[in-house]
Amino acid sequence: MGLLCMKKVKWVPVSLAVLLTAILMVVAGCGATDSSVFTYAELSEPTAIDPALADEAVGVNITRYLFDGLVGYDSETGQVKPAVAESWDISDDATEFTFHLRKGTKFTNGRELTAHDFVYSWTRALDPATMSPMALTIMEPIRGAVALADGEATALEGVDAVDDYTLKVTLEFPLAEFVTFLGHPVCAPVPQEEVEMGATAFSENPVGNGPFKFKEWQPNDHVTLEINPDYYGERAKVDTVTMRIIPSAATALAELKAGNIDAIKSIPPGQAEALKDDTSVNLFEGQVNALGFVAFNLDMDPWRDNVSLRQALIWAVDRQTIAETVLQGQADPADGIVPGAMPGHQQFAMPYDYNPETAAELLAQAGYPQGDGLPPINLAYRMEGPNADVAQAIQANLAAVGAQVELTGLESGVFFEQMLGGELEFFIISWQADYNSVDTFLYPLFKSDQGQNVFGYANPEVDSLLERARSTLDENDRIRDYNDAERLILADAPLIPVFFRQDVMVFAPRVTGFVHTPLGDLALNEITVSES
Amino acid sequence: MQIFRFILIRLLSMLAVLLGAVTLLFVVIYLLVPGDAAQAIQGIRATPESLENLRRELGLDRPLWVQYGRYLWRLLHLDLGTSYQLNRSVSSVIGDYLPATAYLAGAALLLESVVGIGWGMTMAGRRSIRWDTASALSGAVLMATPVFFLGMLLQYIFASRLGILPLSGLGGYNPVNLVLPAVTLAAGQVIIVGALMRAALETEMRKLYFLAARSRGLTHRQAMLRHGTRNALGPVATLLAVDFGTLLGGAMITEIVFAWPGLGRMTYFAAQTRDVPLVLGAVIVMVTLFVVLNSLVDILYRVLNPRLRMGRALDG
Amino acid sequence: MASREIPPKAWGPAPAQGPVAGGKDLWGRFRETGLGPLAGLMILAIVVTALLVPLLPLADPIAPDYDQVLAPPGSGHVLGTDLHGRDQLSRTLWAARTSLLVGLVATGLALAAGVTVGSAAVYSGRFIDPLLMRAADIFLSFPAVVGAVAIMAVLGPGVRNVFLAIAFFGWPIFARIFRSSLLSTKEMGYVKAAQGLGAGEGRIFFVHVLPNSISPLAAYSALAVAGAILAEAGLSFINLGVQRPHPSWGLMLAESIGQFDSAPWLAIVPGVAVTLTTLAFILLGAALTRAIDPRASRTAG
Repeated sequence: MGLLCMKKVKWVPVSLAVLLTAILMVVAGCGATDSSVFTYAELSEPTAIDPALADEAVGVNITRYLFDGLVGYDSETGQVKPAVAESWDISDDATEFTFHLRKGTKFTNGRELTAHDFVYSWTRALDPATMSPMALTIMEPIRGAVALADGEATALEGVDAVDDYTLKVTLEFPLAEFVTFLGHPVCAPVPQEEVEMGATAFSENPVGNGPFKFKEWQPNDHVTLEINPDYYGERAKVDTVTMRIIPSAATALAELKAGNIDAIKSIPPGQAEALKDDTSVNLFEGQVNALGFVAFNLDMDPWRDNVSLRQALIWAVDRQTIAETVLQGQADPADGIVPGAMPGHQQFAMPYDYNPETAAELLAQAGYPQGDGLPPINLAYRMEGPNADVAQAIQANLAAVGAQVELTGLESGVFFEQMLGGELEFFIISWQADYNSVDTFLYPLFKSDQGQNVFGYANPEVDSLLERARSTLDENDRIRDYNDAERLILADAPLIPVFFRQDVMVFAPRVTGFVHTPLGDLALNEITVSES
Repeated sequence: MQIFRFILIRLLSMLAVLLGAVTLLFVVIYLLVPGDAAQAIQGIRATPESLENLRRELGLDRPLWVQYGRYLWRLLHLDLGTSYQLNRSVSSVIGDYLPATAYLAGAALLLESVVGIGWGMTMAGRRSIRWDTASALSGAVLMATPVFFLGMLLQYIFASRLGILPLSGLGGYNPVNLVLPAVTLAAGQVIIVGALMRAALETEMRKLYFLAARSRGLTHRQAMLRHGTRNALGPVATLLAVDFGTLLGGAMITEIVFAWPGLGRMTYFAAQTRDVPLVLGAVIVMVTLFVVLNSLVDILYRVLNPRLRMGRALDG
Repeated sequence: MASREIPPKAWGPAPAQGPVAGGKDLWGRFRETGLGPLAGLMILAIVVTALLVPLLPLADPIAPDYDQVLAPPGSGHVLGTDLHGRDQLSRTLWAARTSLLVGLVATGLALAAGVTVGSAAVYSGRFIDPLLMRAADIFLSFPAVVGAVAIMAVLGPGVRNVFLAIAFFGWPIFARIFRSSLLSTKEMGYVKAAQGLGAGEGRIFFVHVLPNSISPLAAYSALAVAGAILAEAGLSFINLGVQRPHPSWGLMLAESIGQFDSAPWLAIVPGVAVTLTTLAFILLGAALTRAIDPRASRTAG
């Protein structure tokens, strides 16, 4: 026993010494906050910091700081504005787009950016080997995009670098609003030489052309960005941006109150009222283009061919209480499919209100008086965010008119898998704008041939309206078609629109200059952090 | 020669346990995971063709035993495959998270041994039922408090209210950030270390040399510090070593509460997104660390204490 | 902690040496520190309450009432209400049922499996015994919560799967304890005597060996129940256990973190409930260890 114990005996003094050192470092370690650093929290880790791969809000958001595409969105109105492209021309039939690029813009590795970089980047994004989740959704209209994504072509036919500063894009079909689509980060340029360096994945050390450049990424802890001194546009007011990944909104809020971070992008349920009265923080509420809804799977009983039943359930859901009490004002009750912040939104598109009596009448009309004979409905939801609370409220609402509901909380992966496999009969999901057009809420979701039409909804009249709208150049005519389609869809009741999400962000008092974007991003250009 | 035979057998049995664990995990996860990995990877944007391509690429269209064989073959080359979600090699992902976990586990172990051994030494030789009761009760309360509840309370008191310690996160390996999660993690284990230390010390106190030391004129305290402690630390060190193995894998909930970028929390997220290679790889790494540490302790113990019965150390 | 096994022997205060412990009988040692009877009373109270819950005049633990959201403790709702206006007293008491059920059923499953494997190991001879014990090692090599999470990721969340996940990794310690207990019982005089009298193997096993080998499992079972209760709370806390809207202590804590500042009772009540329940079983286990095997901690290591 001797040897072992001789060694171990020294443990005690050694460990005491280490502990003492640790305590000393605790005392010494209390630093002051730096006014050139802005720290905000996200609830989850970006899946990738690469324009081609980012497909969730966190990754898309941070990609926007690091990469500038041909066009961007005005952070206040959401309208398209020039970025790398100074100007563009659109042919009369809305199939040919010519972009004139700004001269002298650079990647952060120092190389000048040219039109060829867009050809490379878009081809890379669509290449099946890249496995980009968003590329085809956004670039599908480009001629040859589908062939490239299917592996039937190796080049992107519809994109041509006429010279270093001119990019010509030809579409498969007329699409008046195509320029809007290009504001999505998946269309941003990446430098070929960095992507193909291959030592570490590009996503771990991305090189872009945006207002900030990448510094470091400690997985599941933080991402740090630094100001890009060579940026062509207006310089941001902070030098360093740190995104901390804190999966619990409650922990993030506590960190903010403790003065460790400057902004949080969502708050725990039940806290909105208290935060409004809290003078030690600034609460910001702004509309965002996102709809939370419950989808009926129209291929399954009892929904199939029973529009009265579906309408009955819409009448039974108390959207007002869900938005105001359950979500505590982090949402507005939905009055249609297209959120209010979206240009082209029509007010009161919904022909339904909250009225349990009407619901009961319709339920009887549908063949289930007081819910008799209606089998228990399985309501599935993703476990993230406030979905669980919304699900419990809807369960109670439907139970009140006699429809028994069981809840199934699923992890995202399983949820999407089962939803796309058509296995879910009734599920809560939200849809956020991919680009700043009404189209993003209607065409991909409700056109009968679209992969994201999760309802199995098909109405030829809606299909032709949506197609016509896409190719209409006149904005008023186009919006009229979209509005008509929206009303038709609502009358068919393939979904219960529940709420339009609001962004609720909280800032430390030392932060000023916050601008809210309707796409739900945190715009950094005007953010200022004063000495505390 | 006896000892070499023992070491050989111990190592072989370690390998057998590892192989068994890998097989068990592989079969359970691949056989029972509902649905389709390809769909989980591509999410809502998937098309039937892209799914088919991906399945072929990942070898998911092959029979289970072929996939298992391939997996083992790659494992032999220390290749844990590629994460579905992150598109990077599983070993590099684990390499990113293991340091934070080892750092936390080390701190918790340190705390556990200092406090636990101190507690054991204080309690040793006391015959008072009242002391026994008080120490048993306080130890049991620490053990009974769920880590997430204890963690929340500590966060509230020390970070939110008093503002003297950071609330969460790694803070760039700042030791201040370590305090609350390490205390949370160590709290329940302290009593076990303490009880073991006490029992071991009391065993030593009844031995002849101890009584001889007393008769030479040393006080009880001196005898305990000079002789008893040294010998009693043997079994305690064994427990601590085994515990370190457990801590490397067992800190999941603590890591979640403190937003600590460690292996356990990463595994939880990976399980949520059905990232099968990542979950599999991470759990295999944890199991391997645990089993290897255990075997080493076992062998070391046996080498240093030739009279010990085989397998004894594992039972602790 | 939910994340660790609670070792059966390394636990507990060392019993006072010499005549103090040795001179008392089983019951005497059990109640020696006073904690054994205390644990018994606590468990009795918890079990009786859990059984009576459906008969008590409690508010509905599940149906929301959005006019009563986040009411503080006191008027109308003794322990206040949560974000959905549900009565916390009612939810806490209903959750006790789930918690006890998981604790007892999961331990029961693990115990049954452990006893089966342990007996099989002893009676099936030289080849099978080491194989079964290595199998036990394999299961023991998984960190407890991580193993359960992997299983839950496979089976999906829900109470039934919590039983299975806990039992799946819980049986090996029972098997080990039972195996060594069986081995020593088999060598006891009365067993040899029964054999000498010509009693059949099966009769000897069920009448003499089994009942006498099972007592060392009692103490560990109590600790295992405590471990299972913590595991259920932990799994529910990370959304893998009991599903909404049903009440569970772990889930209630998870749901209330966001309101800790403004409504601390929402977290403290279920937190204290799970701690006290677990505590009762740990104390019971400690007292039983002391009662059954007065030298337990002396042989620890």
